[in-house]
Amino acid sequence: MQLFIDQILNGLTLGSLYALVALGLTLTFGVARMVNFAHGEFFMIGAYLFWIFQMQLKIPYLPAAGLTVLAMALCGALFERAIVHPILDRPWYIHVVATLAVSAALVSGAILLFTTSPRAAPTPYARVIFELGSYRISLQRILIFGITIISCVLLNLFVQRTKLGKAMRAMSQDREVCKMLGIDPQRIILVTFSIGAALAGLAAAFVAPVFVIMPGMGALITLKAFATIIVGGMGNVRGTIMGAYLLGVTEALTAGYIASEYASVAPFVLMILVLMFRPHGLFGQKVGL
Amino acid sequence: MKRHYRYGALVLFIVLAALALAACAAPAEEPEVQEVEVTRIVEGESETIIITTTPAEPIRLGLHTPLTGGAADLGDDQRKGMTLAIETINVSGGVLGSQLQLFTADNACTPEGGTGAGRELIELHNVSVLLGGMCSGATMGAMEVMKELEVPGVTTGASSPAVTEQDNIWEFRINSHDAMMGEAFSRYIADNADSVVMLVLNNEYGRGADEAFRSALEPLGVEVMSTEYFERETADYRSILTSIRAADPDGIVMVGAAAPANVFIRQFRELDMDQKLFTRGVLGAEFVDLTADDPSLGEGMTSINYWTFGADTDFQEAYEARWGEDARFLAAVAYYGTYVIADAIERAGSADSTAIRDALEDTNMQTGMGPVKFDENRQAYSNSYVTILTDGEIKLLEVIEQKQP
Repeated sequence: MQLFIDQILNGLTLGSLYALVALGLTLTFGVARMVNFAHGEFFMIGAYLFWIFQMQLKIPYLPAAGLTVLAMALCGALFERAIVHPILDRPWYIHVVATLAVSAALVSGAILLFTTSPRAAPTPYARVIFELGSYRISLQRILIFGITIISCVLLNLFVQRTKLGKAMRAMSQDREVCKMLGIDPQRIILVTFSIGAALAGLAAAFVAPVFVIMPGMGALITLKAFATIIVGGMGNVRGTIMGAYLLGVTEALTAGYIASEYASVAPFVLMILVLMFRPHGLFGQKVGL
Repeated sequence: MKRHYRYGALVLFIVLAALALAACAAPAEEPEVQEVEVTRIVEGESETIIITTTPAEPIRLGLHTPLTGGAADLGDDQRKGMTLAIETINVSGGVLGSQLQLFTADNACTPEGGTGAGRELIELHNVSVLLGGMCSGATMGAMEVMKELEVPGVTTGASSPAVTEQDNIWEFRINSHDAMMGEAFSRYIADNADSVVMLVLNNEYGRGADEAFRSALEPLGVEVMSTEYFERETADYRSILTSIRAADPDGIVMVGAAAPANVFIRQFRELDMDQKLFTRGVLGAEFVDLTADDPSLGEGMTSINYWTFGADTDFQEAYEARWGEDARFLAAVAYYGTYVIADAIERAGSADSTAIRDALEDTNMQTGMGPVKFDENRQAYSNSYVTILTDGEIKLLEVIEQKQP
């Protein structure tokens, strides 16, 4: 029983990691109706920025994390102006090709700038260990868990309560009507991509210390983030969080009770099952953004 | 009519672009005397000199290695090792009076990537011989092309025993494979553990090593309790480690690379586990760099490999002078592999692929990783090195001289 509880807790910490990466992805899809294949590379760029701030410029952890989020918000705004804005009204396949191209360019750029050597950006919090019975967990992982929940709550409050958030929700439902009502779609989409990239930066600043920073680091985790938002319901913040934890627990239990070689496949099997029986995702119809 | 003009213009543009590219790529008709600035290493000191050469047709060598993806850092090590060897050979006058010219292609560490990279190097760049591989799956992917197009290759790094069991006469390997290293390391493991769990990279390399280590460990009475798999990009090992902790083996045999091992070791310590760590492909300068914030993380970790830092100080100094960093094992093996190829070209007396292949069969030379002489499967019996990490430094425990059966 203890082993089972430990694996569930492992799944929840893993789910937090997926949720943090998936939040920005689901937000941009929900508002702009655009699947951003470069989101994983935002996560990677955020990790390198965090590495520069913390390891090269020797800025303490939390200010370095804050700077990463701000820098990524700026990157998101630049991305929106340079790439998204010109193609927003074009068909979906233009979005796919454009964001895939940006993804490839960012990976190649990172190889040129930072080389392919992996970098580590550990924090002192990774060495502070808490014991809950037989379960041991580092403060860094608790921070990931905490920041995921806080981000989710704040994001929900933002989209439910603020004027800008309400405009974003309106945009996700009908862009044309929004225009007629005087909402400026360009401004909303600019803010959305800025927040989306900032969330990728937040994920990078908290996840990179327990991971290794490489140009290709965004690939697998983003695939799982896609599986997360498909399971939870694309464009649905609460669904994304639930989907992430479901995927994390599935993966942990597969590794613990079936076979570790199938652990990375398990989230995608779950995704296929969800697509077969609930194509809009588990929470896609019940909860709006 | 307008449409036809448009197509005509497009075709004309493509033809002109192709002609322009061909003109750019075409070699100069008359070889000209030229001055070349080169850097050479003399007694560990780097110096720049100007040499005057009349270039003969260069001999084209191809390196296929991962340049993108999770193993790209290791591929870059191979590129640096081979580049250093080529530069050093060229400064000394090249081979058969010709300079060696390096072409690289990305095999992405996948079988299909190996096939594509092999084809690109042979068909597009017209190389006489291939080097590299590093990833076993990618190496076997490239081997199919080598066989089809009859171009030899020297594998430097890939360690799955299957590579030299394909009955492919175009493939030669200079490093020990995992069955050889597994047998040697198992004796050391058996002295220190009665039971182990295998933790291997989920690819051809990891699975080959798993099989090789199992067949060596079990006859020595070491119980292999299970095999767990991970990916290069695995972010969370806690689920696997929780299962291993429940099984409570004496040791963990990890077959992987430095980058994933850096993530693994932090979670291993986080869970306060006390299993002895035996590794393959993990311990090297890269792992030490990645864990520099807490050198005690890998304390006591032992490893077997086909080269280790400290095995060849001349090469290490030259590498440090050229690249400004410590040499890693995949750079070393690519460096020696280039010399094996240069030696074969010299003895073949030409850059003809078949002649080089025939000359490779008769290779008998000493390198910084031991002797290179191929058996009937074109496998060399160079050294293996058992090392341990103590106080943040890699120390040599034993040099194992592999014997040809």
